Formats: sequence, C-alpha cells, structure tokens
Amino acid sequence: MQFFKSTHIDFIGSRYKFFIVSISLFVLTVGAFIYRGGPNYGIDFTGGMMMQISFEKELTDLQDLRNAIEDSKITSFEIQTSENLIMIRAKKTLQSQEEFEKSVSQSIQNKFPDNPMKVERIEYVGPSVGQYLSKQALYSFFFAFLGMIVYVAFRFKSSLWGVASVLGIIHDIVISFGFVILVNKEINITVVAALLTVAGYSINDTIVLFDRIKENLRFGAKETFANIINKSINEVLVRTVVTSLTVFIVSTSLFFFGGEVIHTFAYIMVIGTVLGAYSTIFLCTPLVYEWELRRNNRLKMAIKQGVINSKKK
Amino acid sequence: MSKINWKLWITVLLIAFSVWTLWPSISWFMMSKDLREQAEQAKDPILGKILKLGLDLKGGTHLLLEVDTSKLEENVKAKDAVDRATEIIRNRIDQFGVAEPMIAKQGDKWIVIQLPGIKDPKAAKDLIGKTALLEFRIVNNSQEAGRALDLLTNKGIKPAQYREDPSKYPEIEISLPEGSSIFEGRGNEGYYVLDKALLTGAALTNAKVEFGGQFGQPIVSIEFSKEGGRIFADITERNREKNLAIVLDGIVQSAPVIRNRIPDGKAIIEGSFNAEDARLLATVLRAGALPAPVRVIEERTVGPSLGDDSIKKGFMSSLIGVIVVFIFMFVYYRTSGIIADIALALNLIILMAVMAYFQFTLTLPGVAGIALTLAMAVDANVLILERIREELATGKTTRVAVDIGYQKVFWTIFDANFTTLIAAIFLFQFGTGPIKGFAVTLSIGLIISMFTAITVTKLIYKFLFKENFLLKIKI
Repeated sequence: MQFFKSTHIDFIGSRYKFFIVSISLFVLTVGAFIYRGGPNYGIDFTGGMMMQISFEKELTDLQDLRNAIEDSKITSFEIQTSENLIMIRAKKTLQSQEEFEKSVSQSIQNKFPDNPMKVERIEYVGPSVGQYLSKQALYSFFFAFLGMIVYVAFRFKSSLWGVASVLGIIHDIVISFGFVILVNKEINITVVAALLTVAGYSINDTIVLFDRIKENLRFGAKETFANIINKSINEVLVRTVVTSLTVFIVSTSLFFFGGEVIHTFAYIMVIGTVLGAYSTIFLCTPLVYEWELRRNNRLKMAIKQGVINSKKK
Repeated sequence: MSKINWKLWITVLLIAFSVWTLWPSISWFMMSKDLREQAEQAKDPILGKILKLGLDLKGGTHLLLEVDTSKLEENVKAKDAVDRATEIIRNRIDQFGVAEPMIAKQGDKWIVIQLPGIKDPKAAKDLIGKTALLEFRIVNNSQEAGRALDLLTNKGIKPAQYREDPSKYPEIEISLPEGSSIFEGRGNEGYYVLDKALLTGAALTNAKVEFGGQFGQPIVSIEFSKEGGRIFADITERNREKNLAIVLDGIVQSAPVIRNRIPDGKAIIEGSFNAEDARLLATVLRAGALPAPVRVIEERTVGPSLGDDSIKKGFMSSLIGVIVVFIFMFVYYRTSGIIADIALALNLIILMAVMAYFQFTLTLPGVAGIALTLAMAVDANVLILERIREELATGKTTRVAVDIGYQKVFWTIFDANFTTLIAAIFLFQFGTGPIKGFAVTLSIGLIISMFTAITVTKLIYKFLFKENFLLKIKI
C-alpha cells in the first residue's frame, strides 16, 4: 500500500504563502493571549493548593459546595468537575496548607453530613517552590535548545541550520502554547513536559529533512538550491505523512481514553505533531534557503567587486 | 557471517535478560490485592525487583520540607542542621512503618520525602513536622519573676510572642532573672517563668507509652542515657522541693515538685494525650528532636483509587494507540511492517526491563515518554522502509535495496535520536519530579530504539534472505 506516488510540489516557490500561515497562527496565539488575559498558570508555578475530592453519592448542586467552602472563610477559589471528581483550587499564597485542608474538608462535611467525602488528591505548592519549578522549567528549555543548536550546527557544519531548526521548535512550542491558552487549559508541569515532547518531535522531523537535503546537495551540484530542496521535501514527504500519522494515532488514543491527567498532554501532542511536520517543511527549510540565497548574493556581489578572487569559486 | 552472529547473540541475551528481569513484575501484577499487601508487610525481597511505579500511579504522598535555619543556635551550621534533620526524619518514618520510603536532601535546606501507598498522610505529616524539643527546666518563683509575669499578663502578651523576640519588650526582659524565660502551660494553666534548660531530649535513650497515670490515662515514660541520668540525678538532688517543668515544644506539660533525688535516670511525661498522641510523642522522642522547625512547602498526595484509575486509563489508552499503529504498519508495509512491529514490541519489553532492573520510577509523564519513544522507533522503521522503496523503484534487487536503505538512513536516525537525547538529558538534569520520569523513559527508550529499530530488524531481514524465505519481499 502507498498513500501517494512520488510528488513534485514546488514548496520553495510558494514559501511566502506559508510564511503567512505561520504569521496568522502567531497572531492567533497573541489574540488568545489577549482574549484570555494571559496564560492560566496552575499552582505548580503560582503556588497554591488543589484538592480533588469525591462524594459517595453524586452531588446535584455545586452551589451548595461553593457555599460550604465560602463558609470556611476561603474567598478566592475555583471549582471544577470531571466525571465524579470535584476539584477545588485556591491559587492565592496560603498561610498554612494544613489549615486550608482542614477547614475545607470540615465545612464540606458539615454541609453534607450524610454524604461522606473522600480526598483523592492534594497538591500544595508553596511560593518558593513555585518559583523554583518555574526557574527549572526555563533552564531545561534553555539548555535543551542550546544543546540541540550546537549538535545540529556541528553535524551540518553550519550554525545557521542549527538556528533554523531551533526557530522551528520555538515556532511549534509558541503556537502549541497559544492553543493551550485558547482553550484556557491550566499551565502546569505536565504542559511543560508536553511542550518538550513537541520540541523533541519537531527536531526529529527537521533533522530527517536536513539530512536528505545535505545528501542531495552532495550528489546534485548542478541543480539550483531551490530544486534540491524541493526534491528533498518531496522525497521525504511520504515518510513525514506516515510518521505524523502514527504519532497522531497514539496521541488521539491518549486524548480520548487517557483520563484527565494525560488529556492536556495528548491535546498538545495532537497539535504539536501537525505543527512539527509543518514547521520543518514550511519554515525551517525556507529559512535556510533564504539565508543561503542572501549569502550567495553577497558572495556574488563580492566577486563582482573583485574583493574575492573569482577563480577561487 | 560472524558479524551477524554477535548481533544475534546480543539480541538473544537482551531478550533473556528482559524476561528474567520482568518476571517478578509480571507475577506481582498477577497477584491478588491481599497477597500483595501480605508481601509488603513481610518486606518480601520481590519488592526490590518489580517495576517501580511513581506516586502518581501508585498513590502516596510526596512532601518537600524546608528547614527553618534562621532559628538555629549560633554555633550550629545550617548544613549540619539539615543533614541531622534528614536523619531524624528518616528515623521517624522508619518507626512509622512505610514500605520503601524515600528521604533525601535537596538543595541547601530542602528535604524531599516520598511515602508510597500511605493510608494516612495526615498522621505522617504530623509525625514528620513535630519539632519535639523536650526540655527540663526549674520553675523560678522569685519576686522578679513574679513582676515579669504581671507585666506580661497586663500587657496581654503571649509567652510565645515574647520568646520570639525578647528585645521588643525591654521592661519585661530587665525584670526577668538571668537565663530564664516565660512559658505557657498546656490547656490555659497559666504562665511559668523557667530557668535555663538543664537537660534536653537529646539525652534520652528510650521513650514509651504507658497507661499509668492517675486515672489510667496514657503517659510517656522516658529513660535517660548514662550521662543524662547522672545529670538528672544531680538536678533533682540540688533542686529539692522546687518544681521541675517538663517543656515540650515551648509548652509546659507538667511541673511536679521534686521530692527526692532520682538516681535511676527515669522520668514520666504527663499530658492531656490520648493514646495516639502519646504513641506519636514517644516515637518522636525516640527518634530525636529536630534541630530546627520544618515546614511543608510542597505536597502532592494521590489517593490509591485515583492512582489505580490513572494506571488503567494510561495503560489502556497507550495500548489502543499502539495496537492501531501495529495494524497500520502491517497494512501499509505488509511483511516489513510485521518486522517493524516485532522490533517495536521488543523495544517496549527491553525498556520495561531496564526500568525494572535499575529501579527507575515509572510515572504518568513517563508513560507519555514511552509513547514518544515508540513514535520515534516507528519513524526509524518508516525511514528505512521508505528508503528501501525508493531504492526498489530505481530497479535494484530486494537484497541490495535493503542493504542500501539501511546504510543511507543510519546517520539520519542517529542524528534525530541523538538530538532528542540531548534534550532529554537536560530535562533530566533540570526537570523536577514528573518531568524527570518523562526524561528517564525517553532517554532509555531512544537508546534501545536505535538498537531494535536498526539492528534487530536488519537481523531479521538477513535471516530471511539467508534461508531464502523471501527473495522478493512486499515492502
């Protein structure tokens, strides 16, 4: 079986159209950012407390619960439900986590004496830990990017290719982040892990194409750079589709059947898979092309002006 | 031929190793819940061999404590205090009885604690957080002391407030006798002025619960070390007919009158404890007092049923995804698809075996890491197969096409995996908790997938060609 026979699409020729797509996606991200009033950072980064509880009998009215918690003198909190679980979250820096836990569970139990509640999950993050986690997340992004740039630059003997591939990753991560903000999902450690997965997938995809371009450059010295790039993209296109499809299958399965914790992760993966393949073809490679073109032009100009001996070329 | 041979041997060895390593885990997950609990109680050695599940999957409590080093005495170094606090907490948890706890220092003044499968996180937190500073001080009944007490009461200052920063209340400080301070009795019994501590809980060798109080209520009986007993005898000798206050965490538990010298180094602490309180106090006293107060700055507790739920869903969804990918590979690539599937399955098995062997912890993000690894392993095979198809299209024979396909794609796969590995290593370095779990499965998975997706599949092709099972494969 084969999805399609060899293709001859002129990707480089229509690169500006796709730059516009990327720009629109960026605009969408910024729009989501403004619309939602910034990312909805979870307690991992802001500090705060989260309790997940379940009741023996299902609650019919959440308002009762809301009142019960307000009775415990806690004013700023959110309630969310998923299936039979109820999530209570207070993001404010809390004086004492134990007091929160105690007063919340006591006032809930007072309100519903004949419906025992069970605490399924507690997460408490103190403010200093929130700062620590944010700092560590930033470090891991920074050094991972740096490491990838260095390796790609070394392998392709050009720091430009390294920078282009990391620009692709940043493109994917920023837009995926935009999609997270758009649906107002909470930014927590799991989201960071998902974004890094997207980064891993994106760089993988970019390297496969770059390797093919490098290989074709070696054998096709007579062809123009644009033709070589186009040929390379077309050659790996089937692979890109097949691989993206398999990642897509796994992510979709995680999305629908993985349960609440994995849900956000899978959501980001589904979007990131598509973006990863897209950025390789429509962003990283055209960037390399534009850059090399300009450098060549400068080189030609220099030759014309006799700065560089033309025989050398 | 010999080249094939050693690759074959490595593969066979790896499979054997995996089966052997995973066997305890398999039999563990086949066990009934009761049997597992029994094994946990008995500290069965199998526990050290099974695949370790993270707290998010197994249920349990993760705590991060901060040692408040600002309250240390001057001659104590912060580092030593944190080390000592870690040791003491370890002792307390050991006495509390948790299967496979993890207690470690993190950074300068943080202590991370993981208590898997714990039923009552509240009690554990109480136990860990108790400072349990036990002091023996003589009650000061002098006139100056009385004046200081009056001043304090008139101004409505609490003793704890005063002790926090005595220099804020100079008039009280001046009227107090040298070295003494003010303490509160338990249950609003009034305030005491006490001389400096003569003996602390550090001099204890044992503490246990007894039911010997006046009304049969629980008391904690303590035993001093030889040196402590000598000092205690000395104190009781010199302070006859005075009150000896037993102070626990700044609160006077009782202040009996010393009638006689107590030579045998034994004493009792009476307080308004219930049996559970008394047991906790005895445990804490045995393990020693914390050199400085600790505060919980992070807690993540997952109830066992939620953990079970996560395992089921995480496992089911991954399984569905993987099965669909397997079927897809077969439909799209036929024979070669099956070969790729075999490599994938091997990848998964070896990955689990390595996790179990090195006792790495599998977390929920770790499961996601496995999913990514598998995706990249599929990609490696897709790359190879697409390349072989390209070579076949130029009219090469199958055997040549397969050889060239592998050759040309090797460095691509290596580069792609290696770059991701770089990212994974930094994640491991800087990531915390769950992200670390992700980095672990991803790194191990990538390395294994390089082996299974390239070496193992090629081995299968070589074998098939050698036996002439297929001269023309469907790719």
